[in-house]
Amino acid sequence: MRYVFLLLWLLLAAVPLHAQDAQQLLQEVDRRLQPESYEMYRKLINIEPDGDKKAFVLYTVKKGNDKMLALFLDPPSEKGRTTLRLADNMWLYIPDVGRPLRITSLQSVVGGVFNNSDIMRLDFSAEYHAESVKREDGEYLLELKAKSNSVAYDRLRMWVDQEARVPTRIEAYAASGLLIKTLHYSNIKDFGNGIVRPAMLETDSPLHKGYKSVMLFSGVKPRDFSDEVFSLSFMSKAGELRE
Amino acid sequence: MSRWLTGLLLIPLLMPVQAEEFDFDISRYEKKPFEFSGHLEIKPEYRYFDQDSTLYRLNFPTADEQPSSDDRYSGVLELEGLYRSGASSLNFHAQATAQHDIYGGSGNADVFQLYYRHSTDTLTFELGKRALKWGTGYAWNPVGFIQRVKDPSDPELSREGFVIASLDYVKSFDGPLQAIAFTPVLLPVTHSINEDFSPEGDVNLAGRLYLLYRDTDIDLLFLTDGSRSGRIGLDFSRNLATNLEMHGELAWIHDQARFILDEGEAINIRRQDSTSYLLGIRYLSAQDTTYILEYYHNGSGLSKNEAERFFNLLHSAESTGEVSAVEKARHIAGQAGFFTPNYMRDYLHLRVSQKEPFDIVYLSADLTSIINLQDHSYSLVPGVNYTGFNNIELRLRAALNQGAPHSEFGEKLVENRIELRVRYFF
Repeated sequence: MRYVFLLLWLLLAAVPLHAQDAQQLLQEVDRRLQPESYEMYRKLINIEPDGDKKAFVLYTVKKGNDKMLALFLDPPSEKGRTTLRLADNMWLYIPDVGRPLRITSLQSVVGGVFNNSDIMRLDFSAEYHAESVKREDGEYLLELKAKSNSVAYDRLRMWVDQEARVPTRIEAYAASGLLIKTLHYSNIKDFGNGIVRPAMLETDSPLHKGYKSVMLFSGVKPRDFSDEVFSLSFMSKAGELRE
Repeated sequence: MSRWLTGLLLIPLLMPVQAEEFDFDISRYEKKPFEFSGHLEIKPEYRYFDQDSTLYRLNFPTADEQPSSDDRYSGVLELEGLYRSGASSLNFHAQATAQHDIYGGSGNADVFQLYYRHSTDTLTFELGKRALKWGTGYAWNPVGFIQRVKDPSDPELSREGFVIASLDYVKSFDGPLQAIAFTPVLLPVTHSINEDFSPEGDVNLAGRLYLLYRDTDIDLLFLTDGSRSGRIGLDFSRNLATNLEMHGELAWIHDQARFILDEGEAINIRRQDSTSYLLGIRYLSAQDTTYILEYYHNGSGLSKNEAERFFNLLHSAESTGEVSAVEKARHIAGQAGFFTPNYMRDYLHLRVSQKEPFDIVYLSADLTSIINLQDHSYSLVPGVNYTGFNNIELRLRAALNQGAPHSEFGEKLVENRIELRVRYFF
């Protein structure tokens, strides 16, 4: 019986699921990771090869498929910097400069391994087509292709836990096929309101050998916002959204 | 078996990986009634003077006191904060500066902003001293009708505001017109309020209509005739590709006063309409190099001949050796804006910045140049910036001003300069 089960399991692992299944799975992953509209706090920690760390704290709100606002709360040198994303449009507000500047998703806001695209990422299903899914080593492996060239990574390979339906590992590739970075999700936590998701994301990159970045998630909760919160006028007031 | 296998696979996910190492307490980031932040800056600077320049001779007219260089030390303290109650807040931003150079010690303290704000998601009311920033240009903003002129060689420095009352109404839509915002502003000028905006007292009305239309930022701006002559403007910004942004500004000023020096070295005020514009791009290469290129036409700027007359005026006053003649010439030239940055008509600004050169994280290197297209003089500013130390930012910059005699950058007092700026943020 044991061998029959093993044979069945191997057969299942070898059978690729349809693209439609892949898209559905990707959408489920999105909903498990975060509600469609939410607020959350994130801490980004850049770790240098010698162990030195630099931390950034962000307050983020998102609405629907294409609206996101992120405010830096720490360190003091970055405090008040706000990034707004409306679909493929992105702006950066720096308090001293005093007006929002258009930026691209490829630019880095904080230096190190993270770039704007990691910080201002919308739902995976909003940015990527799920081309296929298969079972591999007890996980689903989703192959994702960017919907447009405004997305920082052309292809993603996403390993998804079969039970929790959340990513365990994501490899991000450039259009040339070059591996840009690998994201490792861990520390699944119950955030309340039915949100059970990883509370930690570690990133390493062959382009930044020896450097590592960690993103910690906290205070993830569903919240609705008016569309006007996601406007240039509101960027200087983003801090007022906190409760 | 299946559960056992799944459980085994989930173990790494459920383990609190290095949780003790990465602590994250969000309570210290929640909204509080008071917020306070700022930075302290020190900047030692070595300046090498151009002893052949007109400005050098004006600054050091006597032969027994003609230094070739000096050391300048400056310090800046900037404080920002707010007190909030419900949907209202009281905001402030102040700056204190001190410096010591060849002229001796000096200091200053200014309130850059102090204003009351009441806001909802769609409507914001502000009253008090406020620094509004209009325009999409990086180095210049011809449509910045009610803001102080920025320093093109360091455009990101904070600037003092004016006392205003303003409303801002914003509305978002689905469709090609994605957002609209309207900002009317009242700016009074009396002998004690906003007196540096203009010597002519009046209650001035300015406004901005912002549209996000088909992924393009568009602003329509105006300032009614009052303390300054009336003006209208337009600006835009759009991403042409994922790594290429284009922006521009156009301003038309009605009946603007220009100070012209006639052949007899008498100052004439000539009133005429003027048009200024700016066109720029920002490009990010695959190697993480950012290029900002801007062309600026200053419609009320001096022509090459007009500038030449001012140089001749200053030169002939200085050659008399009479202090009163020099002071008179300085006053005339100053009245015409001759000592302000970029007083002529056509300029090019190029900034090239490289993120993390030599794979050094938190380091950036940049080179900025402003070229006067009329007299072909230019400034060249190379610099490096390092933000790797917690709460400390280091910036090392040099500056070289080059140009022929009687050219803008060729006649600067300082020919070469090197400075180190250390900022501590709290």
